[in-house]
Amino acid sequence: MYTIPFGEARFLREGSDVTIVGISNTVNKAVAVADRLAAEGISCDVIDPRTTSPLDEEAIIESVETTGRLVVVDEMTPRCGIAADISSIIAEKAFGALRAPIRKVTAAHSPIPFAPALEDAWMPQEADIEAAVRYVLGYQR
Amino acid sequence: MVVRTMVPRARARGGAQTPQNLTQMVTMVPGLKVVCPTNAYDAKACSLPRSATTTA
Repeated sequence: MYTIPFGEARFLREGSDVTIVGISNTVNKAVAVADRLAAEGISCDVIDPRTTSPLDEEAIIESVETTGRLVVVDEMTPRCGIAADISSIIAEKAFGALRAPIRKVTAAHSPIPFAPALEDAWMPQEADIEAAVRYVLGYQR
Repeated sequence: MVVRTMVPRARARGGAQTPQNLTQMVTMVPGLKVVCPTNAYDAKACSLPRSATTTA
């Protein structure tokens, strides 16, 4: 009782326009953005993989095959990170389904600043997630 | 063995001592299980022994 197997993603919102994958705290930000965009008629699939190793690749692939668009949100740095890893998995295994480039929303590739104002700028915020969602939705080949 | 460590949070403050997230450094090690919970339920449910044994 009260146990969850590793590698089993959680679906927080169901949508058909864009898939948002969040890691840890960014999931809560992604849900807030999805709820705000829902009022405009933009429906987002929000997925929380819960464990990064093992990773529930199937859940993300399945979702991207429906939506054709992916935004990965992660508070880690962009290079060699979880967002980069998930992006590469989707580019490799669900390329045919993609209708827009994958967007990563991550921290800056720099040491984390100490100053509060700089930390806010460094950390991915809800506005950054929203901008990424709007970018992939507005993308034209 | 379960090692619990800090997870960043927006406005945690304190530079590299608190809000920095280094999950990628442990995720790259084959064999380690890495849990990134968003809530208390997931944190507990993924830390109990049965989680490990039911892994695919």
